[in-house]
Amino acid sequence: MPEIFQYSFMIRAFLAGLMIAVIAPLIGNFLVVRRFSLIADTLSHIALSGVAIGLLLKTQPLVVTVILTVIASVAIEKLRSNKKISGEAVLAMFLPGGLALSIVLISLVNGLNANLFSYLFGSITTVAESDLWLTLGLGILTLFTVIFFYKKLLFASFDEESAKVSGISVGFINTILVVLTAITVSLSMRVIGILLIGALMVIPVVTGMQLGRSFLQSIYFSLGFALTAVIVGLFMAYYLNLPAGGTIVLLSLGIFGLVAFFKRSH
Amino acid sequence: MKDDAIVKISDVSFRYNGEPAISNINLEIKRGEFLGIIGPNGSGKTTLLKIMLGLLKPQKGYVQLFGQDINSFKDWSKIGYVPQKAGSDVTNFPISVEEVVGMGGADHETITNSLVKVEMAEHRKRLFRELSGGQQQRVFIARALAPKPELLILDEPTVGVDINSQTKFYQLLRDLNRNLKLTLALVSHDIDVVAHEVGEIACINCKLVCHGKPKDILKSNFMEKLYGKELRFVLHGH
Repeated sequence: MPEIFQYSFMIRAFLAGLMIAVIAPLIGNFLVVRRFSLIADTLSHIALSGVAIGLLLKTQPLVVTVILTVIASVAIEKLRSNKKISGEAVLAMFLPGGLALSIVLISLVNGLNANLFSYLFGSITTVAESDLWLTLGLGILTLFTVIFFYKKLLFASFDEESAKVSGISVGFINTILVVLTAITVSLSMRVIGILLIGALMVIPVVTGMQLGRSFLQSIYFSLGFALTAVIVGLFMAYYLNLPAGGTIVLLSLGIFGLVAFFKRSH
Repeated sequence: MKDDAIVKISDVSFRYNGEPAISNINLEIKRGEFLGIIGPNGSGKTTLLKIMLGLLKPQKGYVQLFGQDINSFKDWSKIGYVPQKAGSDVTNFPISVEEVVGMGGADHETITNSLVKVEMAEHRKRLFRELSGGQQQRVFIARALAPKPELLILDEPTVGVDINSQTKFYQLLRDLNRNLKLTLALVSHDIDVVAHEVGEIACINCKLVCHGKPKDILKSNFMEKLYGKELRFVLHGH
């Protein structure tokens, strides 16, 4: 067995990382085609408030974060769907709102300590066993929910009005999508980091879309690219002592560059 | 005797922010009919279509679909809707033709049959965004046909479609109406084209201005009331 897997923290980081590499681009595909990918960044800023509350209450930050981001995601969808405020403006309100709340709460927990810093940029050494089980449990739930509602998610993303006429409860489907986004963002913060998770939900997706000849094919490509970036990134983080989140995101960008170059030259 | 009106619009009015879009409209669509709902831009025809599809609730009056009040109507598979274009930006959507047709839940065989009906079967693996406007409309019709509807409602289907493709498109609609016995309701502002393709016309300009056979309506002065005095029509048969 390679040295890297002799440490239980690395096994936990890999298992959590692989789960995230599957669900982040999976959800990201539906967000990108809806031009709604900024919701991942918005929810990640709200996730930071969740972490601060968790640290303040000396409880599990991940559990608090999941609850807070899910509530925020439903509120965002509610405001967006009544069409009085545009989706973009709703996100532009919630993003600084989440950050503002985080700053106030962080000042209450005596500033930016090392623990909080690890949530911002991810840290492979900090995936606790309870985090791993929650990540795997909610990750598998997310995966099966997408598989179950796949065609309805696709229809509502492609043509909301026609989906409504065909009898699909579009409001319910849209709410499912934002809730799954909130869960994905929360689960990703340990390995990828709050400030970088948006990238893993978008970059492999955009890369996959360069090659996909169908939506499903684009999803498969994006999963492949995300898994490659996470596996190679975690190895590099361990052996080269690099921050995991940043390495994974830079690798994703590198893959995008290679694919774009390949596409241009063919 | 069985009532053959599959859509019954009774005294329906709708206002946007206090401004009337449609007012006291009564209209029936009978089984097997090919109805063109026409009117100038801003005349309320799209509002009427959205009310028929349950996307807007009228502030006055009521709508019945297949003899049932629209508020309790559940059997939406009886109605196929063909939008003017997809709600999303298709240029950034990597979706194949067969995925578009199958997104309502159709199986492989139904997708194939629907694409054959609109003569698009050989394009099933292509990306939707690579198709011409006319081909995209055919794919939307295939999607609407997949659940085997009895009524097809089309919203300005030939906007942005070249004249050659428009002719083929209306030929396809006539075939669907005659061969599959589909009831069709088509919304358009292009009276000159639609009047020669459909079996019945309903003219909307906030109110129902006229309703009847195209040749009767074109000969009358209703069109001048609807579109202004400068309009001239040339009648020709098929």
